[in-house]
Parts: sequence; structure tokens; C-alpha cells
Amino acid sequence: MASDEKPVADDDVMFEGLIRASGVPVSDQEKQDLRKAYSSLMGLAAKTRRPGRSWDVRMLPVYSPKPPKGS
Amino acid sequence: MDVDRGVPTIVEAARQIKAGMLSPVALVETCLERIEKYDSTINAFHTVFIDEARKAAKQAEKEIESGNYRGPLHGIPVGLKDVFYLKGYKTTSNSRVMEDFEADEDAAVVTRLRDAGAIFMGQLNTYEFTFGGRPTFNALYPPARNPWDIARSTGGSSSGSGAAVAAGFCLAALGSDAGGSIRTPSAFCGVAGMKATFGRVSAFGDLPLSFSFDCVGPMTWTSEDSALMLQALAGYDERDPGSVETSVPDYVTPLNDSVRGLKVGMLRHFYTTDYDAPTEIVDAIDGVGETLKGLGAIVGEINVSPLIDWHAVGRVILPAEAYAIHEENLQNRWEEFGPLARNRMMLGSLVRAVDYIQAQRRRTELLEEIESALAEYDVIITTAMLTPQPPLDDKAPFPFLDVPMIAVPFNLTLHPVQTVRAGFFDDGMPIGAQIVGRNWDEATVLQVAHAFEKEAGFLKRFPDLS
Repeated sequence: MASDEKPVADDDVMFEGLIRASGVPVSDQEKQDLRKAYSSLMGLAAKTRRPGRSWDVRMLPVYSPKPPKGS
Repeated sequence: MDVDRGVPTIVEAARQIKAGMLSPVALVETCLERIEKYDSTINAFHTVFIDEARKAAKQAEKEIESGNYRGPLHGIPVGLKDVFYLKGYKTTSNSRVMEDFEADEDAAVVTRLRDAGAIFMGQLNTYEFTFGGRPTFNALYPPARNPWDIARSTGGSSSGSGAAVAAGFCLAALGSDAGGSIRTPSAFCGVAGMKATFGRVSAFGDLPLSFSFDCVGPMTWTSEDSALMLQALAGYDERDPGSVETSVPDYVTPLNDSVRGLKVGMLRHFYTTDYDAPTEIVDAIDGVGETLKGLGAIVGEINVSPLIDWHAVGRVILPAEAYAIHEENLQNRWEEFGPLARNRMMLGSLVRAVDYIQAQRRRTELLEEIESALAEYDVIITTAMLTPQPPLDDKAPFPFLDVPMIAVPFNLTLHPVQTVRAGFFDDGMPIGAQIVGRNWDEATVLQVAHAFEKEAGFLKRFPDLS
């Protein structure tokens, strides 16, 4: 039976998974440093979100072909 | 000759070379002597092209004497950041991973400078794989030292470029900039540096760090010299997908036009309320506005989103793109990276696709804020540094997460920026300002920069290398 609680992203699980998925042989000390940095990074990533942002706000760079020469 | 710095500016050298009063051979020898005398301490160059530079100088002299003067860069000694393809030489980006890499053609900017008659003095140090912040240690070459104080950082990643120009080892250097890598070392070393509009200067043959931020540009003693360099470097190149086919204006002739009536927007909250920069920085940057006001410019103040928002976007995009570029080597050659560079890049592996895309969407919104400001103002002025030059031996792994990146906003927005010397700290270290202009309008940016430099007179102070 599904829980009524809203699921919360687990940063520790995310971090472990992403590091493992990278396939890069990070040492234990480096992993500790990266875990701290990951918290800062996710804090910054949260700042790039805007509640209710319109989907008209597209991403940069804009992917469109250049105009034909001479146009 | 400007004996205080040991070498002249490009403008002065070019005038004398054209008039037959200065030999490129003598100029190159002066630079080589300075390198020989001081670079064992400064570490700006990792490789000096002694024989090649002498040979090129003789060739330049011969051409000029026979009436084939190519222009103001003919016979001018220039240093190359070690990220540019240079046929016949290794391009390492200061990484053991690239120790044996040799491109089979020149970078576009190398070709342009070669065609203009510039003389290459050697390859300049950088932070490993140009990942800025603080110097990378345990890389292929030791970090460059700041000529104003050898115990302090040059800033990066064009660290050798900033140091070499400040120390008078060459009259100009090439740098690259994905988050301030031209502008930060320019500010820290007290020289002028131009990050042109994204797409103005070809990045073909520049080892990449960030596909959507990477720019290539000149670092010089004066903004007048930057204009001469940019004139040679700018132009469309179909080999660079980011290069834009648009006309290149005359950057040099309008330099001495009056700034009277130009509208200048001071972006103060970046260095006052968003980050509590030292009083000396606040006073110096405010002083740029005051100086321009004294020259007849109309000075106002602009407000955009807090600096942390810009920093956040840059901090998500930059390592993600860097990691994508270097993923294979990180997986297979991890031990060949220096520890600082590899850990900075590893941050990119932790950025999910949705984080990256949200950052790029926020970038669109932020770009519109600067576009709105530049609809009202001709240029925007803010600081190029939030702190004094840190100690060289600071090995914190992620310093850039603690202090917001003051240069990255204009990598996000793609606008042209010139860094100028805006004053000094009480201990004599230089302070730099950024002058930002409308897309493709480097000419106005350089005009304002030149007017400020002439009026302020800060470039009459030189680092003491003795």
C-alpha cells in the first residue's frame, strides 16, 4: 500500500548514485569533499528555479539553424 | 620607451617600429632579457621560444625595412596561453592528460596573430584545463605568481598571461574566458583584458572548458592596446560553430571620441549589498563612475537580480559542460589529473539534466535583465573582483562555491566586457573594474575604457620585480 507521505528527494542517495554512475574512481577523501560541495551545488541549483515560471522561458543557447548565406 | 615597465605599450612600439626608430629584434631581446631575469620567480611562461622569437624578429625587421609593414602588430612580442593549438608544439592546458597532445594546425587566433606579424614569445601557464578559481597544484607546471606580490594569486585561469603582461615579458598575451579567466587575472595583475561578445573571436583551436561560455581575447597593458589586438583577432570563422558572421567595426579610430553624453549604469549592488566587498574596492569602482561623470558621461545606477542568482546559474552550467568534455579522461585517466582540477570537474557529474536545463532557462531571464539595462545605458560598470588577491598557496578544493563569481554574469549574457585598472588597495595591489557593453559593441566599451584610463592615470604605476 502506498504511503500518504509526499516523497522527499534524498540527497545522500542521489549523491551516492551519481558518483557511482559516473564510473570515476573517486577516493574516500575526495568523496567527502565532494559531498559537502554537492550540498552547496544543490542549494545553488534550487536558486535557478522560479515558482510558476512560464514554459515560454526557453533555455539558452537557442538551437536554430543559421540563415542561409546572402539572406 | 616606457622604461618604468621595461617595455613600451603596443601603440608606442608600433609607432616606433613603423618609423624605423625601434627594431623588432631589439624589442624581442628586451623581452627575452626580462624573462631570463625574472621569470624563474614569476613562472609566467612554461616554454620560451628563444630561437624562434629571434628568428621571427629578424624576419619582421627584414620585411619592414623592405617596405612590407603589415600593421601595428608587426614585430610585436606576444605570449600564448597554453590552450591554443600551435602546430609543431604541444598544447597541454597544464595537464598531464594532455602532455603529448600536438595539434596538426594552429588555432584561429594564432593564425590571425601570425598573419598580423606578431612574434610568439612562448607558451604561458594556466590553471589545469583552465578551470578557474584558485591555482591548481600538482599539475604539469607550477602556478604563475603575481608580479605585484609573488606570494599572491594571479587569478585565473589565464594566469601566465596576466603575469607576463604585468611583468613586461611581452606586450600582449592571449587568454580565454569561460567564467572570468581573462578578466580575473587582468584585474588581479592590474592589466587590461577583453572578453568580446560571444562569437566575435573564433574559439577554433582553443581547448574547451564550456561550450556555451568559452571566449578568446587579448590581455594588454592598456585598453588602447586591447583595441589593436581585438582588431586583428575578431572575425567570422566557419570552423567555430559559435562564430557569428557579422561585420567587424573599426575599434581604434573611435577610441579618442568624447564620452560626453554617454550613459553609464553603475551595477553597485553586486559589490555592496549582494557581497560585502572591502571599502577599497567599493571606492575604486564607484570612482570609475565619478571619473566618467567628470568627463561628461551621464551616470546612473541599475538594479538586476542578486549576484547569487547569476553565480548559481554559472556554477551549475560550467562544471556540467566541463565534465561532459572531460568525462572519458576522468573515467580512464583519473590519476593523471591534478587533484584540484579533477574534483572541480567532478562537480559536473552531480548536475542532473533537469538542473542544467533550469539553469539555462534562468540564464535566459537574466540575459533579458541586462538587455533591458543596456537599452537605457550605453555601458554598465561593476567590479571585476570581490576580494583582494588571495594567497598563492590557498588549496581549498572548492573556493568558488564560497565567494560568488563576479565575472560569470557576462559569460551568461554573452556581452562584451573590458577589464580596466580602477585603483589600488592600501597595500599597493591593483583593483579591477568591468565595463560591459551591448552585444557587438566592443567599440564603445573600449572607448569608455580608454577615456577612463587616460583620465585616471592608474597605469603609471608598475610592479617592482627587483
